[in-house]
Amino acid sequence: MIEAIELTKIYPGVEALSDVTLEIKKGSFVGLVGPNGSGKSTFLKLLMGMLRPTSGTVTIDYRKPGWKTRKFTAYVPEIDTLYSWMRVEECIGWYSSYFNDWNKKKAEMLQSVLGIKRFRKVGELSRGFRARLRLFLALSRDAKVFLLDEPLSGIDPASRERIEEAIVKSLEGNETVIFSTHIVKEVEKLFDSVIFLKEGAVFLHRDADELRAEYGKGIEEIFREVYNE
Amino acid sequence: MYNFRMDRPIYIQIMELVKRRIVRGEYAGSLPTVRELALELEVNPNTVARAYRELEREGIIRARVGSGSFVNEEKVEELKKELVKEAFEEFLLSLKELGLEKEKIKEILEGLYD
Repeated sequence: MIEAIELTKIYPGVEALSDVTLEIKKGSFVGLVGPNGSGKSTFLKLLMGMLRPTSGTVTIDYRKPGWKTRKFTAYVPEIDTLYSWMRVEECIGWYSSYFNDWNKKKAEMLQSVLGIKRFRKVGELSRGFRARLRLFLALSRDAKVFLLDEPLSGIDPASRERIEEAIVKSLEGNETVIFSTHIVKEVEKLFDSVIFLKEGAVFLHRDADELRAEYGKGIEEIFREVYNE
Repeated sequence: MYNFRMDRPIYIQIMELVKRRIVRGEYAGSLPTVRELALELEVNPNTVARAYRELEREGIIRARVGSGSFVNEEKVEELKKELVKEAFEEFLLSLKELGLEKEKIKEILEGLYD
């Protein structure tokens, strides 16, 4: 379970996250949506322990984020963090030796779904394939918590489809997933619940199917209304 | 992959799909596991699990611990009648929207049968 209580993060001059209180149940797939700058990445980085709250608290399984929680948390950063001189195979070797929960069988399945080529250098890969690789490295773990930061941003349609398929195929149903995105179309069918962030605050946090029933609209349409797009 | 409408709850659409398949006899015996159906429909397993829970509550399927879910055969006839009735109601509604009266609809239907 993930719990945030009055969680606030202030960067010099900017309040990135303000007074966020929420609870995410174990095993749920949450869409963390909002335009750029609404606080999505900040929230995920706080969950990774890469940032410290200015005030308030956030916990995963009642623990403060840190090395203990990172053992069971798989994170896909929005930006490229892999060395461009490394071969894909070396990245895999590094990840699989570093994380005890690396699942070789799942990795093989994902490798074929995502079209991962082991002998290429990271720097030679297109943007779409680097995004596929980042996701591959995270999803190949049997982690309890997956934090995916904008995995679809700037991705070509073919890569998008592959990424969605890879996510569906790797889900067991007992893992907690937070999927941050400003693109809601098509991926919304994966969400159990949706958190709408607006200027660093929680605007709405509801069950996705309840929202559809209540509004008679898809999440994408509700998104457009909330953010006046 | 299955095309869901996004403006209605997905778990309800999964329930409707499973009901149609049950009536067609596709699930005689056992239903696919939650995970199998989630993979086929490319949705979250939690959503399929929710649809199954609701179908169980309606008495249409039965879950057996450790061995998946089964169609409640006693309910199939009733379910079939219900779905057929719903289909006719929808059909009649669209004809009424075209301004057709009961007698006229009867007349056309009989004409089609001849």
